[in-house]
Amino acid sequence: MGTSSAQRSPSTPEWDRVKELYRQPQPPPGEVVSRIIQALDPDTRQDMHDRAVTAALDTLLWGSSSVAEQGLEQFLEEFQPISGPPVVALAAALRDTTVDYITTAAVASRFGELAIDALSNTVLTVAAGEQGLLQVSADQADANYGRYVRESNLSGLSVQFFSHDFDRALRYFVSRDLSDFIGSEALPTVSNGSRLLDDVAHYCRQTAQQMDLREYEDQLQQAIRLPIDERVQALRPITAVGITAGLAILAGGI
Amino acid sequence: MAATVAQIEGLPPSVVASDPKVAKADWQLDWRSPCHNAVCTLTELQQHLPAPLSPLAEDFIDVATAVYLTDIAVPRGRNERWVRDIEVLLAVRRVDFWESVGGQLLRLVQTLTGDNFRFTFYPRAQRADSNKSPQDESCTDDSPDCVCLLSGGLDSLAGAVMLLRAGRRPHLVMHYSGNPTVRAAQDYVQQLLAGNWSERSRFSGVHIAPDLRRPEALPYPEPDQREASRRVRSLLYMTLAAVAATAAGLAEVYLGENGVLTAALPLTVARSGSLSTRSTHPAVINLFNGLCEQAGWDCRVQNPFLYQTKAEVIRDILRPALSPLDIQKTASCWMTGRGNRQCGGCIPCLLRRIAMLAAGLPDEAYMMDLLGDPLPHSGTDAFTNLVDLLNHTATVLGKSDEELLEEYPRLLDLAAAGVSVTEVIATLRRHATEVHDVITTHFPAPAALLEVL
Repeated sequence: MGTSSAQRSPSTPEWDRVKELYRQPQPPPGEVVSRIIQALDPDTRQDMHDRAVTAALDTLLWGSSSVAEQGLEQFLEEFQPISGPPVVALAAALRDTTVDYITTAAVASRFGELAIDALSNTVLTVAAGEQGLLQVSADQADANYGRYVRESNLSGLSVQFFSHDFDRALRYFVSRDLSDFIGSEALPTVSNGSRLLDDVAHYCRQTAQQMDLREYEDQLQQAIRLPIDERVQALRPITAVGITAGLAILAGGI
Repeated sequence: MAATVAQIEGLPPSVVASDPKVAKADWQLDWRSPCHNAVCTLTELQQHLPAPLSPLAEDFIDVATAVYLTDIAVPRGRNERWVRDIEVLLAVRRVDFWESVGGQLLRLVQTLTGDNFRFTFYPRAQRADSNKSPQDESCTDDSPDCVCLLSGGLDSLAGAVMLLRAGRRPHLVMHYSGNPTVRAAQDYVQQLLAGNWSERSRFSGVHIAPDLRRPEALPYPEPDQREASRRVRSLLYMTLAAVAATAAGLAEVYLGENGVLTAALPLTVARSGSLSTRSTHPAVINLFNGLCEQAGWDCRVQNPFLYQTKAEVIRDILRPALSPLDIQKTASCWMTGRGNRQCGGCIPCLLRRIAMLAAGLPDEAYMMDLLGDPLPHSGTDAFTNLVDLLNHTATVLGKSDEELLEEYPRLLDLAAAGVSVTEVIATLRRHATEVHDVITTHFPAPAALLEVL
């Protein structure tokens, strides 16, 4: 009953320049990312910070605030029958919350789907901290995740989100074409392809850390106190700034 | 792609005449009047029920049928244009109920399709009774004691065999989509079960499909213009089964699907979100069961194979009861009907071929021998499917549980549905081991791509 659909990048000279790199052994991930960003048309760049993406960022920030206020265990009580260790349950609850909003507002999109995964990755990373996501206690997860709002560092949490979002989005662009090159001299096995994807992911997460959104901290703090529709509306310009600035940094200053 | 689709039959004439959304709808659907462009034949099902369908049950079938036909009628775009915006106008008998559960229905359809749906419910102009027929069943000692869905595939056959071997009396419900290859598999499976357990198996086929045979039929996309992704079929299946269960006062509805396809992890990031089906995902089943609960129905859909791989289902349930030839007569292919054999290149074909070998059955013949000789298919969707499956296998075998949660955040949706993520990961690991072992034992060319672990 189940299956999945595979799609490829459009046939344009810009995307052909990206694919040239897959014919080379170990292409530099920064170069791959840079060429992909150059290949993106204006509509696609715009879509990368649409309402669904903003909703994922919103849930992340709201979650930090809610967990800081209520404590993780109480926060999770609203989300039965969620099961699993505290961080898993937290990430599942936030994912579910985002999908609920996106469904009701009818703003689902391809980049929204990727942003929901980015939200999950961000929560798993920041709430687990050094302890490991299956081992960390509810109290420690609470402290790790709630500190962003307690320490007035929602801008830092946003940077974490964007770094995971770029990881997901760029791996999406690479992996939809990569299988055509597996078995070639440059990428003889699926492991070679995986290594390239890992390198791209690492490059995106590391490079996006250069983003500095501290000038938006007050706006972020104010936004999370609004009702949900107003929150998403208030966050949209910051999502746009984050994605635009991040793409420029990842592309090497385009 | 944005579209409005109206279920035209049943709408009050005043709405048809004055509501601009209806008049300007991109497609109008009808499965009852002389100008119908779809067929919805419930006769067999109704004959096996001890009571007529309630108005709410008829609504469930109408809503599921309309959403199913809408999903086929509205094409998706490529890449970032994959997600659709669709408004569906529906004529129902119980507007109060549908307005109260509109949010749950929306979430269910969104989870299945990834699309932006909107539903508008109108009161029906008159009660439709074209599907009514006298029931020939009354409750007796040999009446069905549960409902089980039968698709013509391996896993649903296993669900039926599991119940029949346990002495149960399932009402086996099938959806006929008009695909002749699937129908042949369904007919064979029906004969097989009836031959082995004639006294305890009862079958109903429901034909729901586009139908443009009549010259006066309302417009509907021709077959080559229809959307192939078919993400909402399971809503239709579950609806037919739940309606049958409720009319017979039964609580158990079985939908058999192995744990790997149920978890529905995207094989790569490129297939994330709605590019991968979630037909039997526990979240989908929970949402559907929630609708049944809201309707005041006792029935609940359950998947008995949530923690089993396809090979385990074949080995543990089908092999002790059926011959290899009987098992091979089922159909798993996503492209089935487009050739006289299963294609061999879609994900279900790859998983089936590997599962058969992993379960110790003989290899099957497919239209393409992708596993035997993959490289000539490089650049095709089939080759992409194989590479992505191999990549997924290597990932599952090579990463810790924590790393898998980070790689596949969709696992979290299982936690949200109350399912044990660690047990699902264990199932995925057993499946990855089966894939690895079959590939390295039987197929040297893809084993080279996998770079034997």
